[in-house]
Amino acid sequence: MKHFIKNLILMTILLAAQNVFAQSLYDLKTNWRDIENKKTDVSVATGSYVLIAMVYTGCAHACPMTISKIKKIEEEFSKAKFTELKIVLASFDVKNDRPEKLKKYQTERKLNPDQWKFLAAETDDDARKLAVTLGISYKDIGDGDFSHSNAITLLDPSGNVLASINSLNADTAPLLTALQESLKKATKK
Amino acid sequence: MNLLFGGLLILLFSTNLVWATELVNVPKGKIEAIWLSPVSKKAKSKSNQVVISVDSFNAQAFPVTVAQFKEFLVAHPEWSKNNVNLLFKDEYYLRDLDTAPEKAPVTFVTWFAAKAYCDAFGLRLPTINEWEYAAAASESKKNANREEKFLRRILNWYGEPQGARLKDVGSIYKNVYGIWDMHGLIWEWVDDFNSSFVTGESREDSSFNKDMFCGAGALSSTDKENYAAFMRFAFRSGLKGKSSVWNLGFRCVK
Repeated sequence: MKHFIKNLILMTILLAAQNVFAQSLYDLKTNWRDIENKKTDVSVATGSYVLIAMVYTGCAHACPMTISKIKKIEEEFSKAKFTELKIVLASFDVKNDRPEKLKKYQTERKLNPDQWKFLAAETDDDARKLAVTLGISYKDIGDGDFSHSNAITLLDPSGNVLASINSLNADTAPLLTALQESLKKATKK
Repeated sequence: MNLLFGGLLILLFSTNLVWATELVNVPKGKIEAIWLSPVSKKAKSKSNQVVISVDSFNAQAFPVTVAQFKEFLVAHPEWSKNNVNLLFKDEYYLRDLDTAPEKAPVTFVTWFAAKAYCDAFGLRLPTINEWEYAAAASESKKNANREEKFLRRILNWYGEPQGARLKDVGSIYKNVYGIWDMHGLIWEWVDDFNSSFVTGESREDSSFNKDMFCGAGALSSTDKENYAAFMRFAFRSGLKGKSSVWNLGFRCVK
């Protein structure tokens, strides 16, 4: 009985704590399509550590840079012996970046679809919600062009935000540190 | 007695609901978007002013009140202070909900919560363009953005040391469309607030990283005279979706 009460109290505290610290991006309810035009969600890579960013494939400058920056981070992670990383790239160009276009882009750039998940938003609202959550500003400036800020965010396997960088020149060390801390915690459990 | 009380509650609830969804029409029109910049290279080469068309829409006559938001929380407890995911709120979320007067505009609300509220009533948040278009109207004119008296009043409000307590909704002024308190009471959330960000000229700013941005669109105020619109622009660009601010509320549109 004593044990039961003790456990109950412990569980309550744990649950409360979980709620207080809950910050899973996967609680965000938005609607997306994968490159095969199947309905999906930003939680498409649940269970893996994920780098998530927003792009648009019509972008001539910063978006290829986003991808090369992610590749660089991936390389740094591999050097630290972590190779299970998945990458989710969601487009805010809802009109032009439809699944078939994203698929073509992915194929052309030889990005392995098991690891790289491109997402096309169902509506502008879905793209906007994700951008706001990730702290990304963007504006359609006409002619298929967007002004936008850049953010690359690291998520744990449950979608909790571990760290993010908001500049393509930013030091990527905080991402690796956050990954290693999270991995350490996970092995302790 | 219980029955009477229950009946009273239902009555209160239903009258408030009617009030909550009272919408007034804003007819379509064109307006000089002095709160924006040349939005594309093309527009920039033609002229410095961008005229935008706004379609007709219906807007809530009053900002959403504390009482209305409390009712919403009864039906949607997932948006109460303790249930919201930390990505969608900051530590100030709904801070004064219990102490604020019922008819005051609800503030300390996040963009996510404001969106969810509007959603629950089949409404949505206005876009920047819609909000600015409706806010350009004075008591007698649809576009008073060039009227000194109108602008001065707004600037006076921005410059006022703000008291601890917000006035009730419906206490500032009613514009020509029948919409209350577009200025002078609170700042209001817009759906695309995160499309306001400063690039271009500000790139020289040391606090600002050029490499954070992509694209040629330099967003800045086209009209240095309209300092008031630029203030709103700057305010929006400083917000995050989970920001809760003491004088930032919202109203919905359809």
